[in-house]
Amino acid sequence: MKDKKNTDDIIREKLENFQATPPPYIWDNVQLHLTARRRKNRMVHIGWISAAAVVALAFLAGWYFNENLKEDKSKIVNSEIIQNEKGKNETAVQSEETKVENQLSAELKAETSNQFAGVSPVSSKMTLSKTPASGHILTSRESINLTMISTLNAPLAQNQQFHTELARHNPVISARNLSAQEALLVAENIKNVKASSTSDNNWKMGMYVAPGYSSYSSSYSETYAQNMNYKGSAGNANVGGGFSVQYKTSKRWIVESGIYYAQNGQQSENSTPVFARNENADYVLSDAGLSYFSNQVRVENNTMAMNSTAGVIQFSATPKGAELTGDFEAKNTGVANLLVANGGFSQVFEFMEIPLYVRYRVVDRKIGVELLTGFNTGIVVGNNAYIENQYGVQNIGETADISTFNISGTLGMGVNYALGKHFSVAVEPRFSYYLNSINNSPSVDFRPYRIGFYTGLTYEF
Amino acid sequence: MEDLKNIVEECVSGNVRAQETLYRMLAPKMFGVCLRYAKDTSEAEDNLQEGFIKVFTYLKNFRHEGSLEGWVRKIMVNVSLEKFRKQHVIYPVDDLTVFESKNYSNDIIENITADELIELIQELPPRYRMVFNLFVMEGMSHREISESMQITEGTSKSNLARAKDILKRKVTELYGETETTKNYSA
Repeated sequence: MKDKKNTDDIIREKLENFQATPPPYIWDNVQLHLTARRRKNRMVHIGWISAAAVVALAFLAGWYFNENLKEDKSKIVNSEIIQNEKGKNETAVQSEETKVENQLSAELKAETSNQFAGVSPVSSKMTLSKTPASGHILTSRESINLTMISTLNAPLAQNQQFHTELARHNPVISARNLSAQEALLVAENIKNVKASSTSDNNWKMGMYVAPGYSSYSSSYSETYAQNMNYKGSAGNANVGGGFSVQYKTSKRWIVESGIYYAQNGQQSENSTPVFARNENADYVLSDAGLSYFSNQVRVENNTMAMNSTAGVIQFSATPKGAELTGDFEAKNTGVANLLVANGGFSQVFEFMEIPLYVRYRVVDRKIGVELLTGFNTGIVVGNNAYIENQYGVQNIGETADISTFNISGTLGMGVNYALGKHFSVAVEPRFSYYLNSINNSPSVDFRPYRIGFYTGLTYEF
Repeated sequence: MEDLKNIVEECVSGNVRAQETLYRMLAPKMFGVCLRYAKDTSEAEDNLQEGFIKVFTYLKNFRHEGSLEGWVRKIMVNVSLEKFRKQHVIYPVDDLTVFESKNYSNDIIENITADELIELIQELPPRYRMVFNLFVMEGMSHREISESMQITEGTSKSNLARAKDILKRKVTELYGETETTKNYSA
């Protein structure tokens, strides 16, 4: 015991105040690291500020254009719609409106070209002013690297010399000198290390089924709205789903893409019939108990079109259980322009969505919590309109003017549970909203949204 | 004391000259610490560099309550411990080997230089070296060592005994004869 204490004390006394001069390049390296970290921190700040600025600008731009579109819409005449018979002056009024439209579109064109002309010089100026600055940074970096290399070279040579001397002075104990117990211990450790080594792969694949509810926000030009069937408030319950590929960029950040299928749409009712009891009276609601509903349609060259919530429905055939008649209020009309049908209409759009999401792992444990946000490119792959009446659900045609490519934004929160090393189950409520109107007619602004409960299985490689 | 406080404050605000002063003040001693924990000079240099980067990054957290040297030294030890943990994934297998320990004399250690002793410590197997340093130089208990190295207390005790045994054997092998001659002539 006494010997043990003495040995410790002797060694401690010997080594407590031991000092050695570190090679000079250590300080240079420390300094370089600290400078690089400061620069990196600054860059991260700048990065966040720029990202925030881009998002703010995007919102402002979206809001600005949206507002402008709304103003224009009320002025533009929708040529597809049959006007209500409002009086004898209609022709005159329409020709005047057409003039206004032409003038307006000319003004718009001029304005747009001016705007674009104004934009391009600014961007070219920016690139020009940037170039010399980045060039300067590059040269300064190169010079730093060169000085680093020169400071490293000399000590490296010194080191090598030192090690050769050390090797000569102290022969290394070979593995043969290890005792049997030590050898066993080493073998056991190696076995354990091998068993526990997992490949550090950052890729993940997922498969989701997404029951959800879709609805929409919409607005219309005045003329379109006057001739539209009753704007429905009901959405659609449906099932979507798809595959995702995720890549972990750091411990908590994940970038995701993939391919999803989703349905969006609306259900709307028939218009409540209105008619005038006599020539001078206002339009009034029909008597209670009338068993029909009417919708204004336009019949032309054997085609029939009807204004509905998501856009103009182009009929492929007259649906069963519906009749076409003349307008009740039209005095001398010979044209059948009313569809009398008892039933609800729905317009359903099917999307293939290619997302670009960013995920952030808030809780990184066996039960994990993730926040998700990003954009989808929504490609319309299905466009159908249905009527549901006593004859069942009938496909009656499709909606006109639907854009093939659309952009939606998504927000979501997910909870996942690791089933083992590779598999986990996930439940993610996600909310997607189309940032553009999927109907490209200026009279209709129809933006579907969808709340989906994405439930699925992910596999981590 | 006030000077040191000023230097620390200047370092925190990013003054490079103050950082260099602090480095020059503490680096030789800390290099001594790192050399003991490392297998060779180059690893010690790496640890010293990494340690000082940490010192300057976290210096704003130093509360001037204890000694600065002690705080910096703790960082150096932690860097070495961290590196050890990363490089040597050891699972808790009890190592309670009983060695045939010869009764070496203490004089033999007393007569070698600190440089020579450090070289011998560097040659110890990594775990022995770590346990030896933490127990003898940092004054940690076997319980504390077992927690920070994720080994059992028994393993820590056995490793310490083995480390000392190897050290003494090596000293005897390398310098034993010279010492004997000295003793006779004395």
